[in-house]
Amino acid sequence: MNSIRDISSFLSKISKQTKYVDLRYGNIEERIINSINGSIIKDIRTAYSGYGIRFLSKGIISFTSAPELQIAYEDINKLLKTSNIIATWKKGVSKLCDAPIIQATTTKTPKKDWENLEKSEIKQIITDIENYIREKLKIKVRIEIDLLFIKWSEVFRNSEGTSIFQSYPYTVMTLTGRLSENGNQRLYYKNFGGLGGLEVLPYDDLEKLDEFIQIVNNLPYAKNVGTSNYNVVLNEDIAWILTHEVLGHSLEADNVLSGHSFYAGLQGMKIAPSYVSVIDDPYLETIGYYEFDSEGMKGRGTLLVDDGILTDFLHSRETAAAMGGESSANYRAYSFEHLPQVRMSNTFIEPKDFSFEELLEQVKNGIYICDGYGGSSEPQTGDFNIDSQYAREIKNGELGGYLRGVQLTGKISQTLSLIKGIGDRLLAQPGSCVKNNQRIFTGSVSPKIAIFDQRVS
Amino acid sequence: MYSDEELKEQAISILSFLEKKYNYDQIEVFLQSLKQLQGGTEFKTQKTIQSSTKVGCAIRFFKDKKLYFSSFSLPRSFDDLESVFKKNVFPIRSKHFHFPEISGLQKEIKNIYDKKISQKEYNTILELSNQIREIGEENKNLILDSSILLAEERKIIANTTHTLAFERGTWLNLDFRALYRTYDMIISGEKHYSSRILPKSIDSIVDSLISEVIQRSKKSQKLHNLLLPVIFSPESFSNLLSFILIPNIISNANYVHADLSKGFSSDFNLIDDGTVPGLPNSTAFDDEGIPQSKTIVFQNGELKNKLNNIEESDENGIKTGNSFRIKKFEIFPRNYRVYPRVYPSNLIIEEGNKKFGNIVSEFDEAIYINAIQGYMTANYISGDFAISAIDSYLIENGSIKSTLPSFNIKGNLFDILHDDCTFTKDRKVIRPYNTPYSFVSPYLITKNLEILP
Repeated sequence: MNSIRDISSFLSKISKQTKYVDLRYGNIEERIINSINGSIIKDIRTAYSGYGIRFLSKGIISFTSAPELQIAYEDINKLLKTSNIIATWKKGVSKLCDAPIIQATTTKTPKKDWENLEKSEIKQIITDIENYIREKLKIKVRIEIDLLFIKWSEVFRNSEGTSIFQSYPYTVMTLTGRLSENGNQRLYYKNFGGLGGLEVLPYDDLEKLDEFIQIVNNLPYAKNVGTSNYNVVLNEDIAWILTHEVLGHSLEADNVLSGHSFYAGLQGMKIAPSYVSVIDDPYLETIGYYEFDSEGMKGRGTLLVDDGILTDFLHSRETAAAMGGESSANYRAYSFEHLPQVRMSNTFIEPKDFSFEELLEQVKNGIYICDGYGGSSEPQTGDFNIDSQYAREIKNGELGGYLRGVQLTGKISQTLSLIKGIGDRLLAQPGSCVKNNQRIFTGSVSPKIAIFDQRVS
Repeated sequence: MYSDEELKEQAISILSFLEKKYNYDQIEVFLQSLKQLQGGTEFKTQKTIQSSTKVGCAIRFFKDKKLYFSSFSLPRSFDDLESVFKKNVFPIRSKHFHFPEISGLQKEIKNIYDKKISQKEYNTILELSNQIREIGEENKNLILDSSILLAEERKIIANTTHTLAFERGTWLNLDFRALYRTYDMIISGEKHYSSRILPKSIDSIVDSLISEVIQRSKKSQKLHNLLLPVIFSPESFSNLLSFILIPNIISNANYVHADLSKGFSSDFNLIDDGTVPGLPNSTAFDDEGIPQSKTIVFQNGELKNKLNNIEESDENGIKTGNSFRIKKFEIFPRNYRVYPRVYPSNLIIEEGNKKFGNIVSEFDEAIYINAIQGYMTANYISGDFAISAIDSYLIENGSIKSTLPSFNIKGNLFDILHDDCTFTKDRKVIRPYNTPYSFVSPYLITKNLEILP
């Protein structure tokens, strides 16, 4: 990293040529350990660092990332010339809304740092988890344990005088049970962990793995579901995917401004039943936690849908200026290598007062749909298509046999109107999101929800 | 920015440092320098222009006959390098193998190199953006968005055989998205184009996207006859192949593969060819320094060869040159940080006898499926799939008529390829979403699918 003095003089030099400039210096260390049936097959460490510089000139925003300031400087000069050309073709209209000047340091330290563990200790963790699962497994299955450790830190400086340092640790464990039988394959996977070190894994409380084991044990017996409309309960993970993929992306102001949102022009309108509220909150200590976004704005919770009324969108300083509002501190990028975009942090439907048993009782006969396995949506129409990993029958208000993964299809405006019950507790798991080829961590946070007359195939 | 010679010196100096400092029996140094420019149009305005430069190094070495891997960005001092090697890491589960003697520097660059892309001129992006904007403005009900990426990659592989590979390649990625508004509906569609060279014109790609979305705005008709033949577009056929067949033609000792000994129809011929000029995954060398080649995968329906890399091949066996360091979700999907794995390069399916238009004209009634969803849940061991057709049309009396609402299909790809497949003469280059490889694929006609309205 260049010295603070180098960075200051670089910013000063660029700010003389531009209306605004900000710089992020990032340093990321990642370690990925893969194991199959308790045997470690891969351990990969990588470390990378560099600069991401964004600037505003003649109403046009440009961005460059480079490993060294000198390389970035050469690119900035070329980009400034390009801004001039674009400005003569079509007047630049980009602005940034006002922002406070902030000087801050935020560091989250892992309670159990993986860096200090001996190899034998990591091996022991994998062995203990493997043994616990094996003891309770009733079928022959391959168990894959994948560990991801990240140390993420970033310096942010801008030409307005803001200076922020943030450092966060992340730990994620993915458990996969893979069953190969009679020329067929079924699998189930589950993520654990979040913001922090080894302490966020269920290692000290292995009973948290019991649900994973129970589902894997039932994989061979899961039946197919016939295509029809059903009353359903969605578990937390698939309810989050519905909220995030279909509703959340439509509430990102860059999508709204570029014609990619079904909800453009509907602010202040009723879009869901009165008992549905939707919140984005970066302060929940999940993998989606942050204190400042990637343009130095202090995170704040945003009430997006208030008792069924669309009240707000997620904003950056640029989209807030374009729509006459305030930034909601949702301008995010995983690393200095990428231009940030408007992204969700932890976006969830506010929990209400239904226990799980009450949700099942309300549905009476239907399907309990669990854990997402991908899908797609059209934010400009609200059409969606979401796959689940598995499901269970609901018979007379009680859980029945296991079913194979199903697909939910529909239109979000209609699906929101058919929500009939919302669970009383949030569950947070590690999630991620890809938008325009940028992957970022977001909390998978949601209560269970009941929806009537949902198309399932 | 590093010159070509400086990059080669950097690779050699890292190799020499490691050889002298540590007494490893084998070392491989992979160095990548990547320069990218991005732009495009969004809602009839210019997208943010972005440039990025990435330089990094990945090292593999054997210590006590065990394989290790690590990567770091450059510039980095040798002191930093030492700290990387002091970390407590586990070996990679692998048999012992030898890094190959590399035959020389890149000799043939026309396959992978476009001077105009390499010049990295911002004007190239602006010119393309303007072309797209002008086409979009011809139709007032249409919003035509685009993302343009120009990339130049330089990679160097040096190893303990004291030989070195150097390659300079270019890459163009164009993503188009059209929103077509009628008085009562919004239709969207996408097209993706990847190549090593700039196309002479982008008009045909954009025109076909526009005609597709306009076609989709036509009144839809309910599907009554569920026993119709189905024509899959090259895009939808490639997506099915990508999730069901491809995992089975890749050598990987850690995964169970399908039993394909029953074979397929003698009409099914598949070649992996990383040497075809302009195709997205044509390169001079793979990421271990093995020259790209042409590998017969299926011949007359019979599986002849699986694709491999050094780690997954026999010491003296055929090396197909299919080792790539692939980072998913990146537009240019190569990244030094990722451990090399076996991937196809360009998969070329042999053409059939009749053109798509002729086949359509022969049907009294059939279904044409342009786009599918849900293929990620397909079972690559059994070949079973259950998908949704999200963009499909009814063929009546020899021509494509009304659109169809979404419906589901169940089938088995292995059974289809065994005795229920006809391929068209016309083929398209397709890079399925989030894959590093491409297909040159015909349309697939099949008759025995289970259609669920």
